[in-house]
Order: sequence, then C-alpha cells, then structure tokens
Amino acid sequence: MAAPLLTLITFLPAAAGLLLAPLKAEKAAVVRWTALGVSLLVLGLAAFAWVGFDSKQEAMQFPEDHLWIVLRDVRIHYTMGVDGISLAMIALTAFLMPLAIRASWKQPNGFIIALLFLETGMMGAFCALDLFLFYVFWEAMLIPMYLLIGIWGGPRRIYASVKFILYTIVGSVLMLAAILYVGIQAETFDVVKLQQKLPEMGLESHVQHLLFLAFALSFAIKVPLFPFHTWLPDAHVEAPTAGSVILAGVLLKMGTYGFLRFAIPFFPEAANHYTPMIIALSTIGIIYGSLMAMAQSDIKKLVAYSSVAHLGFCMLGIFSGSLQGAQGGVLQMVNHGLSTGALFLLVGVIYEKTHRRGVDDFGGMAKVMPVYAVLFMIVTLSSIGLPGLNGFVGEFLVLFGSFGKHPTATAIASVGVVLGAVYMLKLYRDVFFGPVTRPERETIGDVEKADLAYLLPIVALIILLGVLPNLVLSKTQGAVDSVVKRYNQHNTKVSVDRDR
Amino acid sequence: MTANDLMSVMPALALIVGAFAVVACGFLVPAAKRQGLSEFLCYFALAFALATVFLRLFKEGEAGQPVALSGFHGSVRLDELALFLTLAIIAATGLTVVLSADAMKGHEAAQGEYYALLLLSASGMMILSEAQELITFLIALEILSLGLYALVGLYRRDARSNEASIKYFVTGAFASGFVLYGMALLYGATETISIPGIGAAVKTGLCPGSLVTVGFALLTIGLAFKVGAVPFHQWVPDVYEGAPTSVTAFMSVAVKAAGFGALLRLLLTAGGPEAGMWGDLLWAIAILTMAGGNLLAIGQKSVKRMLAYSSVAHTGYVLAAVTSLRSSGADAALRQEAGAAAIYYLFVYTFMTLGAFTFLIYAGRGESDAEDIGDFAGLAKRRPWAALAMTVFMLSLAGLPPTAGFFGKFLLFKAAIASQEYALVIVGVLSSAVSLYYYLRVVVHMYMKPEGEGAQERRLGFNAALVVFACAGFTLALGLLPSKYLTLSYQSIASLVR
Repeated sequence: MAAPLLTLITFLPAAAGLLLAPLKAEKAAVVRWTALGVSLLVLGLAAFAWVGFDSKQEAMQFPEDHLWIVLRDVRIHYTMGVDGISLAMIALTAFLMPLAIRASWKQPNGFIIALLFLETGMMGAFCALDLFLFYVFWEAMLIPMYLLIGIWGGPRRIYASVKFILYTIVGSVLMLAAILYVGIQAETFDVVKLQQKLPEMGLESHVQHLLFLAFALSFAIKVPLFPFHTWLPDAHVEAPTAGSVILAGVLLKMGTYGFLRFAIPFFPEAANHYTPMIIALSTIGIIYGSLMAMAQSDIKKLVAYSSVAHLGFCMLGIFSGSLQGAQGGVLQMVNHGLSTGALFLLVGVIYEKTHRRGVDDFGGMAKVMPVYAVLFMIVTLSSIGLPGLNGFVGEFLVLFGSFGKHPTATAIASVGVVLGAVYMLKLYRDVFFGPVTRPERETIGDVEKADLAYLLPIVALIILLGVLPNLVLSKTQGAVDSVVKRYNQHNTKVSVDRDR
Repeated sequence: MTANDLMSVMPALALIVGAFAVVACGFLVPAAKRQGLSEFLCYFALAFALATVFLRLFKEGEAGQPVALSGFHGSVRLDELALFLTLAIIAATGLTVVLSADAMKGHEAAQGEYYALLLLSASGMMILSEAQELITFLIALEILSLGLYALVGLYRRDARSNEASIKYFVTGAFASGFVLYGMALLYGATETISIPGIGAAVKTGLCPGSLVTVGFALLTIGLAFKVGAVPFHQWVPDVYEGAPTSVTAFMSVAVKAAGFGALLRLLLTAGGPEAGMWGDLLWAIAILTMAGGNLLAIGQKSVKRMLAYSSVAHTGYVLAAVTSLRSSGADAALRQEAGAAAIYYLFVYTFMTLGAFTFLIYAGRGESDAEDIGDFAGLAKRRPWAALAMTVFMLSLAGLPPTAGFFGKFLLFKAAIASQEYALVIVGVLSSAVSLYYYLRVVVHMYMKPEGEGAQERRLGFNAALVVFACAGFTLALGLLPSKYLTLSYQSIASLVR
C-alpha cells in the first residue's frame, strides 16, 4: 500500500500542534521552528503530490478510503482524493502556510498552534471526498480561525470574530440539512458517486433548487458574494497578519471550491437556473467592492474590499459555462491567494514597525524603504492584472470566457478591472510617492532580512505564474473541464426542452 | 418472588441497598469519617450495578438469546433500552459522586442524606427506564422526583435553594397530576395498565380513540414537565440556578435520560403510529422547545442560567427525533433510527453538560461557584487546560465538529429528515446556529477578555478536575469514534421495535 499522502498532508500539522501544545512560553523558539519545519514538510509533500499528479487521468488521485462510521444503510467513509482543482488549492495552502508562520514569528505559542490546526482543517476540506468528512473539516476549521481573530486581533476583535463565525455557521447549518437530505436520498455520502448519481436521480425540480440554494448560500457567504460580504471587512481588518493572509488566501477559496466541487456538479440544472442571479451578484460585487475599496483610508480594509471584487471575478468565470472562463476562475483563485496574501504580508511589515495602517499615516515611503517599495509595486501590479504577472492571465481568461454568454456582465466587470487599477495605484501613490509626510517615519528603516524570508518566495511565485500560467492551468484543465461539461449538459437539456 | 424478579431490578436494587447503608453510616460512624465512607458505599453500589449491567449485555453475545428479562409479572423489563439508559444513569451518578467529594466537602448535608438521596433518585430513574406497566411507571417517577426535590433544597440556609425546592416540588406535583390523569384515561379506554397491553388494545381499534389520544397527550405533557420542554419549562432556570451545582449537574442529565427513556418506551410499545394527536402535540412542543430554549438563553448573564436554558434547548433536539416517530409510521428501520438517535444524543448530552456544570464548580471563587459570565474573564491564562475542556463542552453543545455534540445532532436531524420532518430540521439547525452565539460568549470571556479583579478561583482538588477532563475526553471520543456506542443505541431500540 502506498503511503497515505493526503492523510499526512492533512494531519501532520495537527499532530505537531498537539505535541507542541503543552510546551511553556519559554520554549517559543522550539514551537516556531517545529511549526515552520512541519509546514515546510507539508509543502514538500504537496510538491510531491503536484509532481506525481497525472493530468490526463480523470479519476481522483492519491485515493484513500476507510470505513469510518457505520449507520446501518448509510456508511460514512474516510475518503480522500484530489483532482486538479483541489490539488491547486492544496498547493496554495501549503505554500502560504510557512509564510504565515514565518510572518508570525513574534506571536505567542498558542497563535502558532492555532495556525497548525487551521492548516489541518483547510487541507482536510480540500482533500475530503465524503460529504460528512468535508463538513467536519469545513466547520472544524472555523474554530482556530475564530480564536486567531478573537484572541490576537485588533481592538474590535471580539465583534469581528463572533460576526465571522456566526455568519459562516448560519450558512453551514442549512448546508448540513441539505447534506443530510442528499445522503439519505442517494444512500451515500461519497462525493464522486453523488456527482454521478444526483443529477440522474430525477429529484423534483423545486427540491433540487432548494438543495442548491442551501449549498450555495453557505458557499456564497464564504466567497463572499455580495450581499453576504459584510463579515469580511471586519474580519480582515481585525485579524492579525497571518490570519488575514490565510483568510484571504485560502478560506475564501473554500467558497468557490465548494461551488466547483459540490453545488454545480450535484445540481447542474439548478445551477443553470440560478446562473443569472449569481452572475448579477458577482458583477455587483466587482463594482461595489472596487468602489468601496476606493473610499477606504485603512489599507487593510481597502485590500479586504478588493477581495470582494476579485472573488467576483472568480465567480463570474466559474459560472460562465465555458472552459476558458472556469479555468480563469480557478487560476484567479490561486492568483488572488498569492497577491492578496502578499499584500497582507506587506501591510503587516509596516504595521509591525509603526502600528498604523491608515493611508494617511504614510507618504513618501519609497525614499525610506526602497526595497519594500519595489516589492509592493510588483504585488500591486499583480493585483491590477498587469501582463507578465499572475493576475493578468486569470482575469483575461475570465473575461474572455464569460463574454460569449454574458456580454453585459462582462462589459461591466471590465470596468471593474479599471477601477481596480485606480484604487491600487492611488494607494501606491499615497503611500510611497511624494514627500515624507511624517518625520517620525524617516527612521523606520527598510524591510528587514527576516521579513524578506517570507516576502521573496511569494513575489517570486507571482512572477513565475505570470510567465508560466500553464503550470497551474495544465493541472486543473481536466477537472475544470468535467465541471463545465456537467454544467453545460443540463444547460442544453433545458434549452432543447424549450425548443420542443 | 423469584430470582428472576430480583435479577430484573438488580441495578436499582444495588443502589437502594447502598442508599440505606449510607443512611446507616450517618448514624453509626463519627462525623469526620462520614463523607469518605458514604462515597465509598456509593462507589461500591454503583460498581455492583455496573457489573450486573455488563453481565447482562455480554450474555447476549454468548447464546444469541434476547437479553430482555421480565420480572414481577411483567411490570418491569430489563431489556437493551433499559440497560443502555442504566449505563448512562450510572455514568451520571458516578461522575456526580466523584465531583461531590470536592463540591460538597465539609458540608453538613454531605455526611449522610446527600449521597443517600442521590442513590435513591438514581434507582427511581433506573426503574422508570424499565417500567412496563403504568403503576410502576408512576412510582418510579415519584421516587426519582422526591429524591430530587430534597436534593435541590439541600442548602437549608440558602434562600435560593429553598425557593428552588418549593418551585420544583409544586410544578413537579402538578406534572404528576397530569401523568396520573393520563393513566386513568388510558386505563379507562383499554382496561389494562400494562404498556404492551395498551399497545395491543389500541391496535385492535376497539377502544375509544379520543380517550386514548387525550390519555397519551396528558402523559406526554407530564413527561414534558419533567424533562423541561417549552412551554412547561418555567421551573428549569430557577431550579437549576438555586440547586447546589453538583445537584444541577446530576438532574440536568440523569432526569433527561430516564424521562426520555420512558417516553420512548411508551410511544414505541404503546403509542406507535396509531396514536393520532399526540404526534402533533409533540411536534409543536419540539419546535417551541428548540426555538424557545435557545432564544431565552441568549439574554442570560449567569452562566448557570444560560446552561439551564441550553438544557431546555437540548430537550428540544431530542424531542425532534422522538417526534419523527409519528411520521415514520410502521417503517421499523426509520423508527429504530429515530429512537437510536435520541438515545445516542442523551448519552452524549450526559457528558458534555455534566462537564460544563462541573466546570462551574471548578472555576468558582471563594465560597461560591462561578455563575456570572464575568467570573470567566481571562480564565484561559490562569487555567489553560480547564479552559480548553470548557471550550470543548461549549463547542459540543453548539454542535460543532469534531465533537460528539455535532455527531449527535447529525444523527438527530438525519432521523428527522429521513422521516420527512423538514420543519423540525430547519428550526433545529437554525436555532443551533443561534446557540453558538451564547456558547461562544463563554469562550470569548475565557480567552479574549482581560483578567478580572477579585478573589482567585478556589483551588479544587483532584476529583472535580477528573470529572471535567473525563467528560471532555468522552465528548471528543464519542464524536470521533462513535460506531461502538451507536451500535449499542441501535440495539437498545431494536429491543422495542422489530
């Protein structure tokens, strides 16, 4: 039997967390280095999976399957496996986690341990191929994130953390009801079987719609799709740096991932039915997020609202019904994880130095922190979608793919691209150009070597993916294609029915 | 009286003998040694009861014969359901005795009557869970209640304790009236007091349907009082708050196990699909209890009251599964699923709630137990492990994975969906989302608020800590590896539904 690769990827961090938990505060160095080592080991395993992944194969890869709980007729399995989409998400998570840990070097032990448990939750949710198992990870992952925001966050941390977890839970519990219904009807919780079985089972149309909505609401809150986004700015602003990085980098992708893995393949007909609504909300999100970002004076809040806009693009691509658009959406998920993660890391650097993160608190920083300014420039341009950096390809594919079916929405979304450039460049101008507005900032010094350790890898990957987007696209192609096919199959069925 | 009769009530008998031994020790032993010896007698009686339960459970494995053992001309039946519930009651009583060594230390009442009443009340619960006949049913209900009335009022010089005792006694007596009246109607309609006999009579369709329906409805209301379901819950917060915390811990879990066991037995052997209106009544009570318990808990400042309302809410979740029995009709598989989910949840609930109440004792300051939410501020800094255990209880009560509370709710709602009780599930999941808010408030105070001023928490001994961590361990274990207990709860229901 091959080594249970995905189980290792998932549970190594939690195992390390359990071992480190009893250590006293004096052993901080041990905790940090062990955590970093484990997260790098997980990165290594993820890289191994990435290389070993066969893009041509259609089935789930690195499968693991054990009977977990016997419920008479319904059996709950511990089933794990990945396709291209989850592989990309696992790689993104594994990549961001060591950076987040390195960026939290001065945080107490509990913080680091919470990060490790968080990694287990996220990896598990991406690997799980059993609905019950997925749900366990999906909710379990909220707990460490809640603690990260609530214990180590900013001044309004309690409000933000409670809002975050309540929002998510309200969506989740309705999804739980839907999961139960689906599991009972299909007599299995196996995701792959459900993907084949559910569309063919002939569930009544209104039942399908309700189930789709239950799943979709939960994922839409996570994405977050306008108007379910109001938890996000609070959570992002109050979360500590590593929390924001993971929240924006990975947790939001859970929502889009959920649409790709569950909501669309399970209920393709309902997905088609609600596509206009979702496209409209995504487009509103793009414009609204951009406009809100323009109006912010807090850098973190600005980045948070930009996330609403960027995730709008992902959703637009996923629901475009074309391979290009969906591929672009998935690539954009990775891109957003990298560029927004990088932005939060960068904001974290100056916040550490000054304990300020208002746009007005800075000015002319390019003179004081030249290296920092260069890194920030690259990330800004990546977020805007400059050709040659990672953001461009994803955005282009999304717009290209969605234009065919949703020309109006695409046209409006393109305006969002321009708005994105406006607020990001305005931010850059205000913070870095002009004279140094505050004399006390003259002496804060450039970015330190310790910070470069986590900033350089992410900037390097941003450039790499800009030049070679196929690294990701080739892996995800097969999986995305099958989702798009499922989506379109039922689309044509509907239109054929109408023609008759 | 044959050996068979004795065997059929052996667990309860062990506790009764133990209780009298404790009382005797109160007379005969010098005051300084009383508590220690009483504890020892309790452990001994409970261990004996546990041994008899295990012996019966294992017997089945050998011969393949049914475990069920009838005694006293069929008025009690020690079957799998009774055995499993007895297990839960022994666990709850045992843990209460363990924590009482710390919680009741030096208290004058702890030198005799406290332990005796605990055991007597538990013996009533055991009999109730195996009662096959209405008179036995009522007597067992009264034994368990009388013990609890006295236990609630144990702190004779504390006005709140007295008030709680009176309130509990008056409402409890009122509820017993309902039960009795319901029994009278059932007897009038079916001419029998045997529960299976009533079931058989109802099946023939010859007895007057309206009398049967009203009889069942009154019985249901009486039991709803006992388990604290909305709108019969008004006594719960006051009594839970006024009673000594160790008694609250005991009654919040054990009474529910026994009460629901009796309700299940009643509905499965006598009620069944034929009984009409009680199903709708139960449905309404379940909805009200889930929504009401959770909404009322939001505003509570005292954690003890909050937990009281939360226990009302959890009654509602179990009722949701019990209610599913009405629409599962004659489908044995569905009925078994609903019953097993309820039983499993009661088992899970025992550990998480007992743990949470014990934590209140554990986190107490000076003479009093922790009650106000402010007492919890900054607790995680001073007692990180205990705070972690409390977090496990809170998350489990809220139904978050990977705890047992999640898996229990998963089963309950799954049973309800399988029986097509969608309204129950929607109300259930949404109100459990609401519940997260007030459970998290405890976590917020422990982890996120600065430490408060004032007296340090009292230093509690080994015993209370043992209960807290054992409960936390069970709460996690029942969530991650539930198969074994699940099988047991299926077996226990299968003894009634075939």
